[in-house]
Amino acid sequence: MVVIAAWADGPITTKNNIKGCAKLARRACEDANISLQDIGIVIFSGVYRPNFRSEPSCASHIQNKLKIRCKDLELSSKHCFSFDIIDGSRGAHRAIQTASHFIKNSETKYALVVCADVKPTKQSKWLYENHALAMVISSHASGLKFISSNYSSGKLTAHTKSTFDTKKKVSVLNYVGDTNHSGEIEIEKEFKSDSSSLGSIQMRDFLLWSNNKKGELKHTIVDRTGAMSITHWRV
Amino acid sequence: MVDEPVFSEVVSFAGYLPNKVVYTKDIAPIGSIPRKIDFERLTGIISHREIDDGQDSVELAYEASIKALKRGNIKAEDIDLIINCSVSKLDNKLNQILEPSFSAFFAKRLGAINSDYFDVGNACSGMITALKIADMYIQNGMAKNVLVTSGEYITPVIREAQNTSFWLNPDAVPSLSVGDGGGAYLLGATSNPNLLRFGEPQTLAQYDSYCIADAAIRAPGPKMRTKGKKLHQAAMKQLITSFQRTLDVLGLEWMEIDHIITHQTSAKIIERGNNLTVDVFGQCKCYHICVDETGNTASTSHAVALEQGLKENHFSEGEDVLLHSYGSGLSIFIAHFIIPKGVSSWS
Repeated sequence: MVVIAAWADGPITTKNNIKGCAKLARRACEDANISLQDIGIVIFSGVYRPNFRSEPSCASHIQNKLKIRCKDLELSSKHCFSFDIIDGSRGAHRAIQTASHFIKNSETKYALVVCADVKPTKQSKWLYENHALAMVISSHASGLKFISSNYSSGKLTAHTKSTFDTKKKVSVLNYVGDTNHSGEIEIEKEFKSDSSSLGSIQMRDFLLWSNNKKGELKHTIVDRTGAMSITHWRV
Repeated sequence: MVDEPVFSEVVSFAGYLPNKVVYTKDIAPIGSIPRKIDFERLTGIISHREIDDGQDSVELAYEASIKALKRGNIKAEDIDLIINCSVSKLDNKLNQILEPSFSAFFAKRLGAINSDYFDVGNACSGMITALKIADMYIQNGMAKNVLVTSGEYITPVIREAQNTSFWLNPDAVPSLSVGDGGGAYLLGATSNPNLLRFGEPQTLAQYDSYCIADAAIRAPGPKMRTKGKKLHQAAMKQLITSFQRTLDVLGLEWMEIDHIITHQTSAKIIERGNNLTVDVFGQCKCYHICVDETGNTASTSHAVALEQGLKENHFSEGEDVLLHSYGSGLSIFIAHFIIPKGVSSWS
């Protein structure tokens, strides 16, 4: 079983998004009282990247910015593994689930999960505020315990793609279709995030809400297509 | 009663190449690249494939996947989980799919109505990364039938490169080495722990700036910029150690491995890598190269090589295969699997 040992969030800029993510990750590691070199897995789960970057993984950029085990292979050297998970707003849940699998199936005790989204190009219509959330996931710490997650599909009535604006001569965001947003709902032990927010905000709001709570908790994220993820937690 | 541990196996796999053949000598004739570089001779890539009219990344993944499902005797509605690892994620108008995930569009196209889905991004190592994640979902009881897939419609980076000055942008030259393709692996649950295993995953992030793909400037679609020589040197530097570590972790002997497939970047690089391994480990039984006819098909390159191997009747049931992946980042990840039953009857 893994826990969120510490987390940090804040605004970031498109230009300095990796720097911003790394700063938050460093702060989360300090709060978790671990060295950056303890991290064996870095997972990035954002959707919107600067200039629609498709490779390499943003996680590898964050790993390099933090200088986590950046060295050539030797027969017994310890390394970090970085990759991205893309699953709309559900990315945070999916990344935590995947981190828990890696921790369970390897010698790694600590994973860094970063959820961040930025306006891809200056000319794009952007419905959000750039934001990042960094979480230290661990099997060796106290904190909010992740129990399980389950997922259900949405309908493809709404989607977002890049498109080339022939007048501005640049790729921009193109929001297609209608979205039925559901607002934030708080019940005693359940928190359903506001689906009009970015995934990192939805996760951050749950983490804030979970403060001072006891027992079993439930967090629901719904993305703009209606796809849903439900995670179960214990404090 | 104690539950038996669950492991995963490769039930079937498939690669797909579109029909249109494009020759390197036509996209990169001598004289088009500074210093009169003969790109075909430099890379050993004679030709690659490009999408047919109406195809896109989803369709390339779909074509490979329906083949894999047929070979695995599984219906689309029986799939629990789809993991896509395409780098390109382009529709046929060169728009990048962002939200929901590419796999959501793919699941709809495939008719996988009962499947969960998400995307993994790890450049050309994406497929092995996704296989590992699928393996863990199966081992942890969250899925039984998992389809790991990718469709790489990446040849728009060739067009973008052709429209730039190679004198001013030498990092655009490696973009001429890519090709379109699709790949799919169907994973299932088994009690045998030895049918699909993995080496240790590593990201040597100090090399993260050597290959970057994002939106083109003042043109639709993507561009790719690669410091080819530096990337090649960094990858070659790790080759022997990465193999040695994997052999140690998995308890394998090099000479016993039936098939070795490395990431298909260029025939010359693969040959160079093979020579290095021969010096250290000896000549392996079968080292696969298909990049001369396919180009570098990114995350689908191992699946495309496996498909070529099937066509040439290289594989028999029970043989083992080592898939060695390199992805920009720089990530290195190796998978080892056993060729499934029934392979001789696959069409």
